[in-house]
Amino acid sequence: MISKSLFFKVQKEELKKKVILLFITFICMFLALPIYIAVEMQKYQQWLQTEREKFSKEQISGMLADILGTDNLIILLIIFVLAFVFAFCQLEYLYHREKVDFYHSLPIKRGRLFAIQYMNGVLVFVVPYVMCVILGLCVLTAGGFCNGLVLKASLTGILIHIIGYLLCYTTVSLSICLTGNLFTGVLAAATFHGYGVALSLLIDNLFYESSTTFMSGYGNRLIEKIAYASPLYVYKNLGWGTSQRGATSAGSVAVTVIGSLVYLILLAALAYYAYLKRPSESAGKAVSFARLKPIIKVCVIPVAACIGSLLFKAMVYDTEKFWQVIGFVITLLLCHAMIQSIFEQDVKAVKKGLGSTAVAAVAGILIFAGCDLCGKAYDRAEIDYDHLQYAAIMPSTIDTGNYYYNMEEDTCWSMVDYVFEHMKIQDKDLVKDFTKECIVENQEKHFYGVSINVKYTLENGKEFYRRYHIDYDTLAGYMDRFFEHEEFRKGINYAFGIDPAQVIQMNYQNGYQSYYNERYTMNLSQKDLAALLTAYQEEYLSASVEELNDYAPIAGIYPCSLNKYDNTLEEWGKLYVYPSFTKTIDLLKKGGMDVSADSKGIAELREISVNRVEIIDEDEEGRVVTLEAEVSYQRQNEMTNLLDYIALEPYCYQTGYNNSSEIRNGHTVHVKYINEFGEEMETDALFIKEVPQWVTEDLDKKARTPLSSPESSDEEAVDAMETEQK
Amino acid sequence: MIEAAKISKSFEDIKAVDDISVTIREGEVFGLIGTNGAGKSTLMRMLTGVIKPDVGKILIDDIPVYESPEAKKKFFYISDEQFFFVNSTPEEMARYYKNIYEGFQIEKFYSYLERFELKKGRKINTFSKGMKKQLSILLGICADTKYLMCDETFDGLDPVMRQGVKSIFAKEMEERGLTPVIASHNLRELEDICDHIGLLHKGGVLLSKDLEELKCNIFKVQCVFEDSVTEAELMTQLDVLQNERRGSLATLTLRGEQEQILSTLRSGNPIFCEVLPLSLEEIFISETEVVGYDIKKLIF
Repeated sequence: MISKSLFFKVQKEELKKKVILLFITFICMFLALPIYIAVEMQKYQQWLQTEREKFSKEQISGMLADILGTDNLIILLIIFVLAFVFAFCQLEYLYHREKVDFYHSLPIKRGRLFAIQYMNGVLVFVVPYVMCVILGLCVLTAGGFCNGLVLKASLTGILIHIIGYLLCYTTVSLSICLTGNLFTGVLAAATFHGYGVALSLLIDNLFYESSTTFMSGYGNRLIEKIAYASPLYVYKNLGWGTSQRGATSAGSVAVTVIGSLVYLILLAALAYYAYLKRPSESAGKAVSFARLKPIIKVCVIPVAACIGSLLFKAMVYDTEKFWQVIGFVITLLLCHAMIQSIFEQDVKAVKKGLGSTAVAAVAGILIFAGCDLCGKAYDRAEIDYDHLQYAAIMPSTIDTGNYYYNMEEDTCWSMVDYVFEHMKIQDKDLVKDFTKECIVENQEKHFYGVSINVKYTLENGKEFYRRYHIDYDTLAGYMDRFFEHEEFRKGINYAFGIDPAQVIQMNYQNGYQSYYNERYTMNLSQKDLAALLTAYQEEYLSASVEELNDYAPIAGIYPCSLNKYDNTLEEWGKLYVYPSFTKTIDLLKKGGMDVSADSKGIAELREISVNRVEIIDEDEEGRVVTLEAEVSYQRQNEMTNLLDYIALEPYCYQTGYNNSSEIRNGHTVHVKYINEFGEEMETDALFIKEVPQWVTEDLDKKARTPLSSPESSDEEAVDAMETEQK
Repeated sequence: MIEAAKISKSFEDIKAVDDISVTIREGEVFGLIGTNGAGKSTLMRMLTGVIKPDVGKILIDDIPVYESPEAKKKFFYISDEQFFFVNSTPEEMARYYKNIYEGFQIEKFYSYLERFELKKGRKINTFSKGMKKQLSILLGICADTKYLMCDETFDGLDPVMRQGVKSIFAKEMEERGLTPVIASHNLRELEDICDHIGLLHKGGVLLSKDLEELKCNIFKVQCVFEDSVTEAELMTQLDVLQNERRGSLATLTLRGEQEQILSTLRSGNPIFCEVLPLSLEEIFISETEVVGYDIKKLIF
């Protein structure tokens, strides 16, 4: 047995040869931590002098703590690159015969030799990194920003980044032990780091392709978990899961850390075993263990072929399976040729290994067929309405496109995320009636209609997500019933996700400001701000369906609160104010805002054009045949009359219920005008009430013209021209 | 003693070493001869525990060599492609080895460096190929191990240096019983240094014998007889390995004891009879021809 002193002597000697690596880590970390902290600190110190009322020292400490903490993507990226490079520096000798002869003829057991190299690779990172964290803390202490939060973030950061480094470093070490040259080593390391994510994305996409109701990214925990096979993904999520924002509870942090440590131990054990069993003569070859070749092919080729098939399909933009099959076969053959050439280091070797490629092809087909079958079964699966606790229903037509600020995670949510979290419709009959009709009426994803996102929550806590595709008419029949429910209104309006007591500022936009995304800040006390939000909540809940349906919003308001992590000001989201919200409008006026129903910012109208697209038929291949018509109005009385029926951008698109009815179906409006500052503007608009009869008649006249064009009479043609001129 | 018993090694479809058994005794110089691809380096790498034989076992002083630091402490391996750390100097390499081999004699190493006019502080990557080989040998000798495994180490050394190295070998063998194992494809380079020769061909041992034994049992004799009948009768009484004739002058390579051969030949009243010195190459040519090989194609 090798003595301990010999072990450390060799380790010391080996470390001496790698001093440059210590230096590299130190430089990278020195720039990314103490220097960056110093620069940021100087900036914040200036803030303290100029905006003292907005920021305190503790708040700035919170912001600086993020640099030393776990969710710092720059540090993560640096650590990943260092882990990659250092693992190769420590173990690249395995790729050279003369070096293998040298090391493996020394009187040291291979396991010990691996331990020496592995530990040195860890030391060259850990020592300079910890030193730089300490230097960063010194900088913060000198600036007076070091406190308990900073120390906690630093310690957590050290722990998590070391685990992250070890995850990446061990994975690359394992890749080196399994390969015989640098090229295949890099490929193997990249594959190890990306395979889980690629497989997860592939299954997600295949499922999405085969199912019409599958909602990618919602409730697919199994598919998400596959991504955890990628160590880099584990590290990224470890950083987030232990950060101030991502850590939901101490238990979840412990599970995340322990899970990562178990994964790390497993990887290290595999790397150690691979090193012990690695034949020294594999230096220079593609793969260390010949037995791995078919296994690698069977793991890599099916995934690559399936991804290739999806890419091929996307490139030709065809829904037919034919191009998918072509893509699959081409990618399969290309992958086979590439892998075989790499394995044998000879392009002529493509004729070899056909057996394993055949198995890989079968595996690929099984993945395809499996996902297809599962997707179809997923669509057919019935919801247990008897045990339904509540549901969230989110038609795409009411998606405002605005984000909701989720303070707990310090992230932005889409409206779908918000609705799924906040809407709890308990009316089982309504949910059952609507979703059953959705299931019956469900169309292909590319159908020109409405997407209905539904989250079902059963009594046992299980959650199911579905996305149906139906036409406007089907949805319109239910919208009034939805709006009668308080749960629905609360679920679609961000106002009910905000605690009025937390609001410290309110920003305001009228139509004109919305166009430029400008905001006024209201001059109200915190008590008034809370009252304003409460009034808005009450008025939104009590508004009649007609009030929301027949009128466009006249303004948008943005409640703001302090970010609980770094105390910066955050807007929760945009809330639309309707003309009937009198209490709200009064408080807005009290805050100094000029609120009126006609604050559209229009000084002079120039032209309003209306476009209508009707689906009149389907051709033999199932493609829709449309009939288009467009009329323009330039007379002031016509335009002014028309203005009452439309809402201008940004209030015309998906601001809520009023624009989701069938009225807008097929109609788009374009308005040219001079604004109150004399600028020539052009904007889109939509009908919010019914389309005026005279506009429909004009459109009908225009629409008939092209249909009858081959046989149309001269008289009709003249009529059409006159209408166009008018 | 190093013992390799029935070892075989294949690299995918290629059989590099096939059922070889070799015994290397302590205190003698073992030469391993063979053409490129004969399996010398593979055998050396197996003897040094770098690679594991598929079949068979290798013992160094009764300890299995693979994964055994105890066995590996007993030898120093000089690979055919020597490795030195990047930007290292002889001094740094010696310091590294001093940590590995307890008996490494650093002072002796410095004195050898001086003798071979190699500077201890000069970067090794500025050394010539021959200088690097010298350095490897000196490091190996100063490691003070019982065995010194040299793979193609003497190839490329100039005659003066080779003589210098040989004299060091002789001294070390005498002083501490060093056992060098030298693999080479050049028979002439090993001729004057080896005690025992193993000839490898196509992964197998064609021949493994003591040089003295070989030299004492094979002789080259030139003789002229008056009549061919007498000569033919005598030939039947002798173990003739080779018989070349130029006119009446016969050059015979014979196996047997010298006195007995000469008395047999003299009984035929030769006109001329003389024993000539036999080179190692000639001995090998004769021995391998007997077993059906044309050695001229196997060695240089």
